[in-house]
Amino acid sequence: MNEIILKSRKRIRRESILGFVFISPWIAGFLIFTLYPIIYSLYLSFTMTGEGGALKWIGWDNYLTAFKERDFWLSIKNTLILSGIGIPIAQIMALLAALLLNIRMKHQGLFRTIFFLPSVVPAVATGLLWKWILNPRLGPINGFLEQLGIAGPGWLADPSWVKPSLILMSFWGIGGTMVIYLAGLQNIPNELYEAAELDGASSWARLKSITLPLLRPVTLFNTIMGIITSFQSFTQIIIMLDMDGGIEKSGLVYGLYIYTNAFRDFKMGYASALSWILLIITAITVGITMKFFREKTN
Amino acid sequence: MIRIGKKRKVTVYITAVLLSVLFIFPFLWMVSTSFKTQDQIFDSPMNIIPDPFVDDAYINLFTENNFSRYFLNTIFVTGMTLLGVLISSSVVAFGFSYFKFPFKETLFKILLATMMLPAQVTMIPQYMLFDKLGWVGSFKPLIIPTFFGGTWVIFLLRQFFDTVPREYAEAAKIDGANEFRIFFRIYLPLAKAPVATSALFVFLWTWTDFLNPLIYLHDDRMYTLSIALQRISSGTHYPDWPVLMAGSLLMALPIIILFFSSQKTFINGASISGLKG
Amino acid sequence: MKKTLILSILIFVLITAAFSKTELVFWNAWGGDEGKALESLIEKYNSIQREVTVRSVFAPIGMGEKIMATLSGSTVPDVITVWDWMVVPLGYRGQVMPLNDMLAKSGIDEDYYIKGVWEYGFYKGKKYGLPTTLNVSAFMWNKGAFKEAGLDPDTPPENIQELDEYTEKLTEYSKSGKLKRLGFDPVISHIYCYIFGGKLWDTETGEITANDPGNIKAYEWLASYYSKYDLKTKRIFQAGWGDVFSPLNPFLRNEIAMKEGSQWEILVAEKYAKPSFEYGISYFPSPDYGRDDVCNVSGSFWVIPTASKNPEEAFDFLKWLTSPEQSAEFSAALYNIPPVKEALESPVFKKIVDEKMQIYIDLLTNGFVYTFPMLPIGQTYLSELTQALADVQLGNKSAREALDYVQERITEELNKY
Repeated sequence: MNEIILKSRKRIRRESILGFVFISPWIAGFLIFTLYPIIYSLYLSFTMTGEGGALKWIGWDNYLTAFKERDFWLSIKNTLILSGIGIPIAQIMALLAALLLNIRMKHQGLFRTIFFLPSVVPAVATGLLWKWILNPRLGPINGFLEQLGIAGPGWLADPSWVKPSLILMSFWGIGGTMVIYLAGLQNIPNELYEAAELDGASSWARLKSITLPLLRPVTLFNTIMGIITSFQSFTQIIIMLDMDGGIEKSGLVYGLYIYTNAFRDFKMGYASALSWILLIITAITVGITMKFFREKTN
Repeated sequence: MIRIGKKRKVTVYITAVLLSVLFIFPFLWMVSTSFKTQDQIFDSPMNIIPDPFVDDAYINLFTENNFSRYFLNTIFVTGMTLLGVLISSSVVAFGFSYFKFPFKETLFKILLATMMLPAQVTMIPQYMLFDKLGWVGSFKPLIIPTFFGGTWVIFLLRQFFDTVPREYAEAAKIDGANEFRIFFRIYLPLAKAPVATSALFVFLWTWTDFLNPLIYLHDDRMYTLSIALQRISSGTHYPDWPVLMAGSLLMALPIIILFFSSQKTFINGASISGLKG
Repeated sequence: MKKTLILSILIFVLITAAFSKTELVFWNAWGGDEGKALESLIEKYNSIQREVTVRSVFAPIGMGEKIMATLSGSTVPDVITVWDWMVVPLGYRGQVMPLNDMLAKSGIDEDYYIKGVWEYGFYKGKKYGLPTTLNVSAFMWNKGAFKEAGLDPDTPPENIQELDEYTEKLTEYSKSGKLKRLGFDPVISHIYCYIFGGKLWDTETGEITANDPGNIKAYEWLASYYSKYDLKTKRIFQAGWGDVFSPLNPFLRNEIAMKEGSQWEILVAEKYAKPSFEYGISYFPSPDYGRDDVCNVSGSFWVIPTASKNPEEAFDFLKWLTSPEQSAEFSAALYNIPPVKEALESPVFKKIVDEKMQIYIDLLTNGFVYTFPMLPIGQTYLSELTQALADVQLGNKSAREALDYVQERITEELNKY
């Protein structure tokens, strides 16, 4: 009896040790390269830089200031709108694209490459192109609408159209997410489909009962990474609009707000506080998402 | 891979073609711009076929912008990063997926959380750290940390490893395999598709990374392609669009070729079904 | 055998010679032809003296990520190129050094520079950098558009009232109600604060004066331009404007008749305008109680990091680089104006001076020269001013309320520094 307990204890200990051995590269890297910058930024968030570069401890001031700032709330609102609408739609479109290009057909590889192309083209180039495409006066979209007798919207020149434009542009970059879904689709055994087919299941039923459930880990990955990157993103805004987030700050996102505070206004302390607020918001959102996925799985 | 009826196949094919037109457009536009002269860019309406058709931009890249040197630098940094990230991350991901150990989920949450802090505020303390190590001005800050795992890759691979049925490992154990063998012989081959996918993304990000090389390299001769492109577009006046596009294209080309040619590996990689029975 | 020996001795001598020199690292922010012009100046410096070798490294300024990171480390370059708005924040935080002593020692003072330029880069008595070249804004008008509207093409509006009238006359709509040409549209709003007799700060004390009566009047007038055109129509029209440095430049295409324009736009017109295009450059129109010779100056700076190991040598190099001859050469390459007086007379610079450029030089040398306040939080001030204008334009606040708020807010912020 005792021996069995001892043996299983030994096994558990061995497994723990092995687990730590395997993850040790990351732990080492975290302790050496990541921990210090993280703690330093936390420290900075309670300070401001004074004359001669001296850091002054100001307690919760930076955090309290943030809650009083109009731009803080505006950037949170803009980010939530863009992410809340953009992420689900982009996920669905990437998944649909992956399903489409998972069907055996001629030139499949070529199609996949083409769908992936916009993700490879540098942002400066796509930015320039989009500016032209969405140009309300000279661009092809409004030109086409005009021929149909419809007056096109102002796109980036109209504060109420800025967000739809940005979401529209993001669809072009679904190639990356699509590739990850494609990789996920390969892990679904063909036998499952064959068996379902024999049972006479429709393709919709197969998608619902086989593909989607088995794809859940990949979907969770894509959604979480989508949230993390979307909450921090801002480079596209700078290229397409400007440092203030375009007309009436309609594109002022949280990442941009941090960026301008850190590098344009030289308020590293305030920017650090903003970043820690973002970390908390992101962590809560990701936590809810994970819980949602887990409930679905059960 | 899904097989469907012939009639549907045609519909699907046509859909793919139509969508492709949308997705290939920016690329064609870049190719076209790169073969134009500075003045043609502003032609209205825009011509997709350049007339005259000139390759000055490409020649300019290699004669005046020293592109070959930057190619070599970028290849070096990207190659080392790929090596570092893939080896370390797959090991770590396996550790998180396969073993049970105390604080496992807490540690994994910390790993996820490190991605949630924007780089804007960790950038400077990170620089100070590498400065103390004496690495600044060399390729070390770009390469060495990658050997300690990339969070994105660890997360992705763990998601895949988690789906591998436990029975495979149990069966192997009965045959006397230890954990290292299980990792190399079962998990890695099964995760061919996600590992290759990770490689693609790590390649893409490192190859096009601007901020890290910009901050850590202090010598023109060590710069990478993305900084070279920045130089082209940072005259005080209007950037030289054909040269900028030609440079962007040359930069994107290796990734496109890599993706196209290695498709079979990472999308049609080994599936679990292949190992059954 | 002998040959090899001589050769190796020669190489040895050359190498030791090279190593005995101090190496100065210079961060150059320009690509293109401007970058090449600077490189050739540096080569010249390396060949005319024996004490130091300047090594130029391309370091784009961007938003200063590379600069801020590097300045937090131990190995720093000896000279960095930065935007003007970065100078005081970096200096105030002790990352770049005040040059007062070195300037005094070398006898460079106010008189060396064009009037008003000396203050550029000063904060509370310390001068943190030297301007590279200057950009100057003036009033530009399209003579052809004036003719079409029945105005005298050779006389620009003299006062604000005339400017408003001309704007009405020059603004043109198509039959379908779309804009064809905008009369005028103020962009750099702080210029008008000075034109209306106001000011943004007290250069002596460094205190800000956001709610100066002149500024309030300027804001009221600026807001009136917001309701002049139908907003949506105007924005869509403006979205179709191409980049200034392209043939789609709206001024050259007769899509805006009067505008604020910098001296380098002369070059743009030369390059992209139709031969029939005629335009004039002049001082800004101003109200009779305001200032009629306002000259806004902006540009980039060279600074020396506090952690530089060779500050004296770096300063000597900068002194040379900003000396009249080199300043003239570099400014000519950028189509900018040199900040030092004597450079204006240099034949190298004179080559690019035509009738139009001369107007800019006159404005700069005789006018009321101002730069946007260089404060430790200058950019915060600027974005608050922009926000205030938006509030006035949208009718959320009166000009006085909006500017009072900026005054209170920025003063409070500044007190922290």
